Amino acid sequence: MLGFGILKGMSVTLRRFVDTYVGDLGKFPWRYRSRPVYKRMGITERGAFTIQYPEERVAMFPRYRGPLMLLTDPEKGITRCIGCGLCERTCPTESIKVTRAEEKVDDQRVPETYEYDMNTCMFCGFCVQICPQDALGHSPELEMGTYSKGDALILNLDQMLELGRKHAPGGVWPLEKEAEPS
Amino acid sequence: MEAIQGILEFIDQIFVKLSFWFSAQLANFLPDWGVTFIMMFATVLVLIVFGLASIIWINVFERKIIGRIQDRYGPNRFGPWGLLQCVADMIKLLTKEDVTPTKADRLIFNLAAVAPVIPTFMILAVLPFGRGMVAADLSIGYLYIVAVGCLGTIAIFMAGWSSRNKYALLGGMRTVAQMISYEIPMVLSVVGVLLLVGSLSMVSIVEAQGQWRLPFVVLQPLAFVLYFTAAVAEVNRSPFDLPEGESEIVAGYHTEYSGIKFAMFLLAEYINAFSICAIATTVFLGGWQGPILPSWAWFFIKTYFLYFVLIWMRGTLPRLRVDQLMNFSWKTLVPLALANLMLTALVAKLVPQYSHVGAIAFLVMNVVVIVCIALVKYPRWRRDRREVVLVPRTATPQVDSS
Amino acid sequence: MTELKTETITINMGPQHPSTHGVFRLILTLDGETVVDVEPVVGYLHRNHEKIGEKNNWIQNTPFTDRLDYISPMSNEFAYVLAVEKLAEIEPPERAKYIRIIMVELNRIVNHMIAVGFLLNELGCFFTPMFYCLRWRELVVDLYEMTAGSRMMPNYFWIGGVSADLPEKFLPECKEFVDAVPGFIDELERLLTDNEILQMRCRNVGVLPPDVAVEYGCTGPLLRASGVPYDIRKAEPYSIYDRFDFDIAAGTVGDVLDRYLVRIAEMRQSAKIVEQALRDLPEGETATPKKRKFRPPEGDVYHRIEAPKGELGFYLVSDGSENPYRYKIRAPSFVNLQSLPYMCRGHKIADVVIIIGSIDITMGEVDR
Ligand code: SF4
Ligand code: SF4
Repeated sequence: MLGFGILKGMSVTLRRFVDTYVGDLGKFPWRYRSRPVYKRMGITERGAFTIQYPEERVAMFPRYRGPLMLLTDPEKGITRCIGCGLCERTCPTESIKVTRAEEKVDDQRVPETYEYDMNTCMFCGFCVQICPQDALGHSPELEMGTYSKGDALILNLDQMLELGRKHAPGGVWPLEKEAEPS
Repeated sequence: MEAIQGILEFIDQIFVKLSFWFSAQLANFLPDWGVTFIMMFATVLVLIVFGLASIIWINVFERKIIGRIQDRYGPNRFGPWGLLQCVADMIKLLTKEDVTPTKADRLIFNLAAVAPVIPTFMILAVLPFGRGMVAADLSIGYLYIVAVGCLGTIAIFMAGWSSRNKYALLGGMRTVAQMISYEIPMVLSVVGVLLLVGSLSMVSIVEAQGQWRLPFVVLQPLAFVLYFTAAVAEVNRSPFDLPEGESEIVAGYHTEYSGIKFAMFLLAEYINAFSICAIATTVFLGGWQGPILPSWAWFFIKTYFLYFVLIWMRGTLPRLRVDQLMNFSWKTLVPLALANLMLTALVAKLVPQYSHVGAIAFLVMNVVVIVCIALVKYPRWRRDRREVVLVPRTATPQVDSS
Repeated sequence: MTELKTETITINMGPQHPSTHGVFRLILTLDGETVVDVEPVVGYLHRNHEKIGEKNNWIQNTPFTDRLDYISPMSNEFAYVLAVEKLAEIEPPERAKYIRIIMVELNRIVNHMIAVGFLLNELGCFFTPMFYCLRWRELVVDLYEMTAGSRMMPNYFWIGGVSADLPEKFLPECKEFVDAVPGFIDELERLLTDNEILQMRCRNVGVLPPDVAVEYGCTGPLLRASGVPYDIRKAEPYSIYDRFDFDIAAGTVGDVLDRYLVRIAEMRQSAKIVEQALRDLPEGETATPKKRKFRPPEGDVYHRIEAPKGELGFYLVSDGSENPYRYKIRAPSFVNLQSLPYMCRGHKIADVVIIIGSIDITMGEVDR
C-alpha cells in the first residue's frame, strides 16, 4: 500500500547490493587473481555468487560424468578392458565401437581398437555402469571445445588410455577425491 | 583559516575563473561579438563533450550496480575493474553493420536516430552545475526544459512509425501516450515550488533554497515524489519502461535500429535520465548548495545519488501495464499534484516566507495529505489481500486408477 | 455519428521472442494493444521423443526422459521408472524410495523457483529475482551433480532403485539447504509479493475458472490456483507419499497472482517433505543389480505422478520384448498450454507474456 511494498522490496535489493561489497572485503586483494576455487559459496553466505570462470574454477565432484576414459590397472600396467563389447551394445546412442584383439596380453584379453564418439555421446553413464571389468570411467575433463565437430571429438584407444592415466592413476572410478581445478 | 577558505573558494570557482580567463585571452585580439560568439560555441562544446563523457561513466556505473544488486560483479574484464567496458561497447556498436529495413521510410528512419539527441543536449544548457556555472541562465528556465523535453516524443514516434515493424509501432504508440500524460504531473508538481520561488529561472530556484536554508524536498516532499515518479516515466526508465518493454515487445521503438543509430538512442536515453536527476537535484535537493565541498561536487553527488536510485529501482521493480500506466498518471498523479498545488498556494499565503514556522507548516500539510490518502486506501488494501488456502486433503473424490 | 473503422493487426510473437520460453510461436491478433485472438503454434522443438523411446530398450529410456522437461529431470525419470516398475511389478528398496522422494521434491523447489523467477522477469523485473532464484537452483543442481554426476541430465533413477547411493557429503548439505530455503522464500516474498506494481499487474489477469480449468484438463499449480485442490500425491498416493505430512496449496480466484502464490506455498511444502524424508531415511540397499536388458511381461500400463508442472503420465505398452511397443507421454506443459487462448482473450499484449509465464511451460516437454 502507498508504495510500502515497493520500499520493502527495495530494501532487499539494497541489502544484497551492500552484501556483495561486504563479501568482497574479505577477499579484496585476491578477488581477480587467478586462483582455484574448490567449492561454491556456501548456502548461508552472502555476497556475489558468480565464479569468475577462467581464473576461478570449481572442483569437479568425483562422480562427475565427463567424456569417457579407459582405466589402466596400476599393477599390470595394461588396461582392464577385455574388449567384450558390452558397452558398445548398451549405449543408447551407439557412440562406442570396440573390437577385440586376437592375442591375449598377460593372460588377459585386450581391445584392439576402441572408438568413442563424443559428438553423439550424451554422458548417460550406462557404459560405465555396465562394464564387467570396471574398465571405463568418466574423466573430469571440462574444456572439450573444438572448432569443428567430427574427428576432433572422436577418441581412439590411445587417447582414452591417456585420459585414464592422467585422471585416474589409481585405476578406479568414481575418483577417490574431487578433481582439482586445472 | 582564511587561507583554507581561499583555497576552497578557488576550487569552487575554478571553472568559472577558467572561462573568464579564456574570454579575457580572446578579448585581446577579437572584437566583442567575436568573444561572445566563441564563448558560446565553447560552452556548447564543453557541454556536449561533458554529456558524451558522462555516458561512458554512467553506463559502467549502471551495469556495475545492477550486477551487484543481482549478486554478481557486472563487467570486470576490460580495463581496471571493467571500467573501460563502455569503450568496448562503443567500438562494437560503431563498427556494427548499419541496417535499414527495405520497407522502412528511409528519410524519417534516419532522421529519427539523430532527433532524440538534440533536445537532450539542449536541456543541459540551463542546468546550474555549480555556483555561477550555468551555460544560459534563462529567466524561463523550467518552461524551457519542459518545452524542449517534449521534442523527444516526436523523435521516438518517428522511429516507431518509420521502422515498419509492428513491435516498433506498438512501442512508438505507447511512448506518445505515456510521455504526453506524464508531462502534466511532472510540470504540475514543480509548480508548487515555483510558487514559493516566484521565478522560473533554475538559478533563482537554487538561490531560494539557500534563503529558506532548507532544500525544497523538506517543504514539498509529496511534490518531490510526484515529480520523480513522473520524470522517471517521462524518460522511459523502469518501472515505466513500457516503450521498450523487453519481455513484451522485444525492444519497442528501436527494434529495427542497429549500430550507430542504436547508439544514438542509448545516448539520448542516458543523458535524459541524467538530466531528470539533475533537474530534481536543482529543484528539490538544493542544487549546488552544501557545506565544505565545492559547489559543483555537491551537485554531482546529489545527482548521482538520484541516478543510483533510478538504477536501484530498475533492479527491483516490475513494469506497469499500458492501461495501468495511464490510470496511474491521470487518476493518481495529476489529482495529487493539483491538490498539492492548491494547498501550497494556500499555505504560502498564510505563513511568512523563509521562516521555520513556514517550513513546519508545509511539512504538516504534506503529512496530512499522505495520511488522508492512506486512510482512504487502507480498507481496500485490507480487502484485497490475497492468500492461498492450505488444504491437508484433496477435495476431489479419489480417482480410480484402473 | 458513424462508428470509427478500425483494423486489427496480426503480430507474430516468437519463435525467437525474448519471453516465450524457448521456441514457441504465438500468432496474436490485436486490436490496439488488446488481444482479440491467440493462436499458439508448437512443434519447433520436436525431437521424435516417443519414436526414439520405442527404438530404445526399456532401460535405455531413462536418460531420454531427462530431456523432456529439462528444468525438472528427476520428476520425468521418476514417472517413467515408476511406470515400468508398475508394469514389471518390481519393488525398489526402501532407501531408494526415500532418496527418490528427496530428489523429486528438491526438483519441485527448483522448478517453482525458475517458474517464479521467469514470471517476475516477464513482469519486467530486469532479472533480479531470476538471479536470486538461479543462485538457489545452483545449490540444488550441485547436490544432483554430487550424487548422480550430472547437473541437468542426472539419469539417476534406475528401474528398481537409484543408480548410486548418496555420497556422504550429501546429507549435511541437503539438510543445510532445506533449513535455509524457507528463509530465501521469505526474502523472495519480501522482495515482490507486496509490491503494488506486481499486485496490480497480476490481479485478475488470465483468470481460469475451476470448471474451465477442469474441462481443459489442466493440472498442477495451474489447476490448484483455480481453487481445485487436486494433487495426485494426495488423490492417488504413489510411491511413499502417503507417509509424509504436507498440505496442498489452493488459490481462490485463479489468476496469475494466485498461481504465483500457490507456487511459493508449494516450495515451502516441498521443503517440509524433504525434511521429513531426510529424517526418516533408512539404511540399506539402493538398487537391484544392473542389467543391460530386461523384458517386462506383456501388457500395458499408465502411471502418472504429480510433476512440478502438473500430471505427468507415461503410457507404456509391452509386447514382452526388450523395447516398449508404445511409449506415450502425457506432458503437463502441453495440456496446460491449451488453456492459453482462453485466458488471453481480452487482455493486453503485456498480459499474454505473463500468462505464458504463469502457466510455466518448458518447450522440451510441449514439443517432445
Ligand atoms: S570397456 Fe568394459 S564393457 Fe566395454 S569392451 Fe571393455 S570391458 Fe567390455
Ligand atoms: S555415456 Fe552413454 S551415450 Fe556416452 S558412450 Fe556411454 S553409454 Fe553411450
